[in-house]
Amino acid sequence: MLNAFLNYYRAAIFDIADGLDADQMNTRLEPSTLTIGGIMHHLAGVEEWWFNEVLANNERAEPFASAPWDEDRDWDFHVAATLEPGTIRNRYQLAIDRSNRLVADVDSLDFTTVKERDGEPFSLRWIFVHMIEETARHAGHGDLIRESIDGKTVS
Amino acid sequence: MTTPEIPKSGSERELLVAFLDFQRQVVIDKCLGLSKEQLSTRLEPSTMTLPGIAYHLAVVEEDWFASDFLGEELGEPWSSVDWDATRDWEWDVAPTMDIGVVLDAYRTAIERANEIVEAADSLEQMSVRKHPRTGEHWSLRWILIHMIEETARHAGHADLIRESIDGETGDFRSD
Repeated sequence: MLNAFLNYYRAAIFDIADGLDADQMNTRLEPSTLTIGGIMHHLAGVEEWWFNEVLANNERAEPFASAPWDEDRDWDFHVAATLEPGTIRNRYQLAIDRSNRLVADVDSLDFTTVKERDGEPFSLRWIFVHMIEETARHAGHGDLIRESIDGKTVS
Repeated sequence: MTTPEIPKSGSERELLVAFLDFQRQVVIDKCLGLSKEQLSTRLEPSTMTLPGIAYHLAVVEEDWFASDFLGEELGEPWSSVDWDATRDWEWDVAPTMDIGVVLDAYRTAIERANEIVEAADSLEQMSVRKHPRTGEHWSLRWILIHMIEETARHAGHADLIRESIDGETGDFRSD
């Protein structure tokens, strides 16, 4: 059920970006600096972090591993302005595919991670619920940006 | 956006309620410290407002937990609304109301929802009402996860609307 809800929201992000060209992917609804391309690229990194690095305890994957985070904490958002829409979509899809492979290797939502925060590990259930609320919240940002671009609303 | 400080241990029910409470609080916070004029701000072309989001979520809470899950009738003010004539009644009326009244309605709905969740036998307990088309009932688990994603998505709308009003961003706690 958690996976189904998360997949619903991943699909919603693709719907919000559907058919947009590079300029539209880089459109802001000011004063916010968010863009749909930026949100999608950020979420690719968020998938990578929570499922690849936290859940599976793997090393950070490219292109996130060698990104200049020290120079720009919001590199994932900002670099999207320089990327082709197809590249952004591919990175998000690849991250989702990897997440799904890694989740398939875990047999229980009660599985707990090696990585800890404040001395406590994360359960797979916690990661799923967090990914749902984070992806849904960014879908909310994307909703208003997309509506300002061409009036499209996604439900 | 920060990662919510949600307890990593505890039962599934506690975890889901904690995530939902976090997003509910974000929505309430987005409405605080603004004048009535500011609260009526839209981020065009969208017609949504901050009070509209909070009032909408108030009726959504009551609809899912008291009405669908327990099978109760909707209480006031919702039961007197002619929903067929004014489908977006809560969105339309909220910006004209005192924000305190809007948020009280939302807080009351949240309190009731949490009581219902706490009193349920388990997250597997099924709703009294069923889906009007498919005839399926919803588990309490499904309803809680749905409420988390719906509230979070509206919190995302509220993020951009609030930023356009006074530049505030993120999961702040004001007042």
